[in-house]
Amino acid sequence: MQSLLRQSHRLSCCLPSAQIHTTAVHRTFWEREKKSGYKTKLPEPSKKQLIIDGLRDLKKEIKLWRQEVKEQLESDPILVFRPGETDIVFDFKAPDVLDKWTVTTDADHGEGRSSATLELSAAGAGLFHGEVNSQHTKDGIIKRTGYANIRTKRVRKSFKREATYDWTQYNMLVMKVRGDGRSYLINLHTEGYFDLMWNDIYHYVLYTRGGPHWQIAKIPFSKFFLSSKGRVQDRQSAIQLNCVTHFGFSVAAKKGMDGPFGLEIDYVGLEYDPSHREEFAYEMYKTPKYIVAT
Amino acid sequence: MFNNSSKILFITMMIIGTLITVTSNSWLGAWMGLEINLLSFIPLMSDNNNFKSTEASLKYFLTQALASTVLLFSVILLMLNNSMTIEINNSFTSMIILSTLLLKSGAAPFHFWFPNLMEGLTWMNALLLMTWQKIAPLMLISYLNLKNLLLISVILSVIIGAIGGLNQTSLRKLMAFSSINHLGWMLSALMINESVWMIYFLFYSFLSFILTFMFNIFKLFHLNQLFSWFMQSKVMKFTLFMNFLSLGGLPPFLGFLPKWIVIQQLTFCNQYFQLMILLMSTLITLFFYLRICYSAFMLNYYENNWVISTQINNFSMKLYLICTFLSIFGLFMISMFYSMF
Repeated sequence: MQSLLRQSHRLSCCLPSAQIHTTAVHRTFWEREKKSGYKTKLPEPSKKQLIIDGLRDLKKEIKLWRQEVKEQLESDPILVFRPGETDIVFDFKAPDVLDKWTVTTDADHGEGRSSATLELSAAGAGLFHGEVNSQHTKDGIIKRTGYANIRTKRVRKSFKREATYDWTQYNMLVMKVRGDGRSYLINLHTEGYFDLMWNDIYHYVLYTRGGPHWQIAKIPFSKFFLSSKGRVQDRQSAIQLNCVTHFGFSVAAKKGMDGPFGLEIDYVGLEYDPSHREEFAYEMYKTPKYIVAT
Repeated sequence: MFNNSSKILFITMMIIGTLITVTSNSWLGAWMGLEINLLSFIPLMSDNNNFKSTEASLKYFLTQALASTVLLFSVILLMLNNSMTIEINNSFTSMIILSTLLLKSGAAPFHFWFPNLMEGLTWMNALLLMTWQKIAPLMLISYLNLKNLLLISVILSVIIGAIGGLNQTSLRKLMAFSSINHLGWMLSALMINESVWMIYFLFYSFLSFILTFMFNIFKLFHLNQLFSWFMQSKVMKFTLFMNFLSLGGLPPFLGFLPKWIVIQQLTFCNQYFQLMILLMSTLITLFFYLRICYSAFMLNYYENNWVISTQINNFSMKLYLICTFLSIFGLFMISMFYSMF
């Protein structure tokens, strides 16, 4: 899973007196930073270097901005659903595609011993492979570990402004993958504006077949469920397709499944299927007041 | 999430808030009404199970609270300088009050929160935000005597409303930019006469209501859905697009009448520069409405072969048809009545 249960630094559950906490407990939703404690401390370049980098990128950014203005004024959006056509969003055939993905494991912050890499395989697809290991130093803070993820970088407009993907015209996620039989987790990050929503991720499982044949997995967006920091939320709703910020896969050493893993991804695309009329797969029952946060 | 009694409470308080603002005889009473309105509209907005609506209500609260704070500050400044009721040519205080009221109503250059917020709301809440929430700030703007800043805001609103709506596919954002454009027209009507802006506001609310009502019934949120949803009744599709054109201000539909009145009054006041900018930007908004309409009428689209069941019942259908009739033939009827009496 993407995050693990740090016993002391998570929100305590609704039984206040049932646990004895040996370290500080956070009873708030407030987040100091977007990465919520998992920010890698990279050395910041000097101010002079920042200015030089900025000036070097200026020409590129102005060109991007001019393209955006031109697109806005030309204003020729696709006004119709195209059923059956898959539009590819993430393709591993482009030249510098590996720069757009980030690989993280639990070893990055000293929480475990897994290792993972993303490289181009012999078949011309992206190969996410490595080893998950659920062994960790028993320091009382970490309860379980053993995970590895890949995630795309945040999509940006001109002048490095953060943007979102707009997938409202589609209702299915289509992936051509070749796995090793493990179940991977597909993560659709919908990072919000406020800190409460910084960790909103929609998950679904990708069951792979293993074996030498490629599989095309078609998953409707209505099946994705919401979680925040690894905890599936009580109050669920369908994903907002114009707020998607990152896309990623995760693999974990859950229930003793330590060992090597490999996921080959040819492309990730989107499709509109008119026969899929489901809006959301999970029903929110009407519960008595104050039982589930509504 | 709400049962109906909470909704009734919040809607009642929202109406009361606006009425307090409109009927108050001091700026403090007006501010009070605006606050009551804000506080009761926020729970209406976050009613959905959807997370975008929570974010929208938070953003709405932040912008409106900022505006209210600065408004209260400037009201106190007004009181220190003059009296609470009349502001005598103190353009600095008037400018601050006008800025805050423009922020509250969503006019450019204070419009940045508006389209993003509309994206997260249900259609009925969006309708309230576009129509009812504009009454109080606009009424207060009409008490001010500041032409320059208002003129800047009018010109910026119509231009931004026109250009911003150009490449939009989301219907809510489209209506938001259209609302900003119409707000520019309403502000220029405000500078002329109180009756003119009220007439414009009434017609605009009526047309927005028709469109929003239809979008709500058919659960349309995206432009692509507009084209592929009307296979069982072509008449409904046709009338919906007629309403779109009416909102855009195309004669001979009803939406042209308020614009006609404003244009006439502006020519009487010799405000030709302002008028030219208003007309040019309206043509741009009309362009993107027309593009949607001619695509729907003349091009061939994929349509489902099976009937999609909708929530439309007899009453809704009757209401929609009556309103559409008024929207399409309203101008002729009004002209007929005017010439008869």
